[in-house]
Amino acid sequence: MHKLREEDLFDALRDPKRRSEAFGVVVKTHSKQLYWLIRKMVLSHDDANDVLQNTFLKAWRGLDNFRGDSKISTWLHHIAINETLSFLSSSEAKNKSDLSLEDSMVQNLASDEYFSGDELQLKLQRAILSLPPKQRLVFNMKYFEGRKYEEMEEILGTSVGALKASYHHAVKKIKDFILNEN
Amino acid sequence: MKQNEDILGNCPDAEKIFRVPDGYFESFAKLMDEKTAETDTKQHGRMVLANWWKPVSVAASIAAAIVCTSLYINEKHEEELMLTIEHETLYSQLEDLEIIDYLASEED
Repeated sequence: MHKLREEDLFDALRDPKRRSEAFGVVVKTHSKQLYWLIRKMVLSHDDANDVLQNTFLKAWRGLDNFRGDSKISTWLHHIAINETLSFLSSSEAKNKSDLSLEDSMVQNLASDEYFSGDELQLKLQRAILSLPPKQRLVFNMKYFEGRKYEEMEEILGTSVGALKASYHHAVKKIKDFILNEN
Repeated sequence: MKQNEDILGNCPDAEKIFRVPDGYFESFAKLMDEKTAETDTKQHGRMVLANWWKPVSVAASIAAAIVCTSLYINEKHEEELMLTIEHETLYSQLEDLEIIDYLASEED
């Protein structure tokens, strides 16, 4: 079932008898890419794992509403991005510490057993966290994942021009942040 | 300083900076399989409950409507009965002379 074409996979997802197996293929195919997109936004593995699980559960429950107007991966990216942004805004609301959510995230990252970056990488993450969540998403997709603007346009629903501007502003902000921090 | 300026020059491999527990992606698919089955069981439970609840709630609504209507009718009937009794009591209390006077005035 791994070699199914997109259309066949879509048909299998619509068929109650084959749905479960087809969804297993979808999970296997897309979980890694979605995980890294989420992880670079939430930073902690545990949070990324929770958001990824919610993403697939939402997709599973919403299978009947998926009409196949977009690619399965685009649809999953939409859900993952919405889940990630909701997670970040609810974490912000729940944050009762004196530190801002971003500062807490960097502090937790420094002691995270699943983070092996050096001081410079920690500084880069701090700079990335200074960006608004949506701009951070654009930066991560372009910088770390090297995605094409056209692909990002499809996923984020923002024009290529706006994405380019957003990315260049993000790069400038990050450079300024790092230089001003010293 | 130079290192800071070049920080974006060489994109780091995010998968080397951020790590995942061993075998995470292999076990994730299995975990999701269990979770979706669990969701289905819950949804099935909710559907069974909904299927059972629907006829019960319809029957209860009809019964409630019947009870309300019969209560209303009974109340009306009792009111009418009370009015009849009140009239009869009133008439029984009239003196014969008062009736004769009334009939005489009607004749005039």
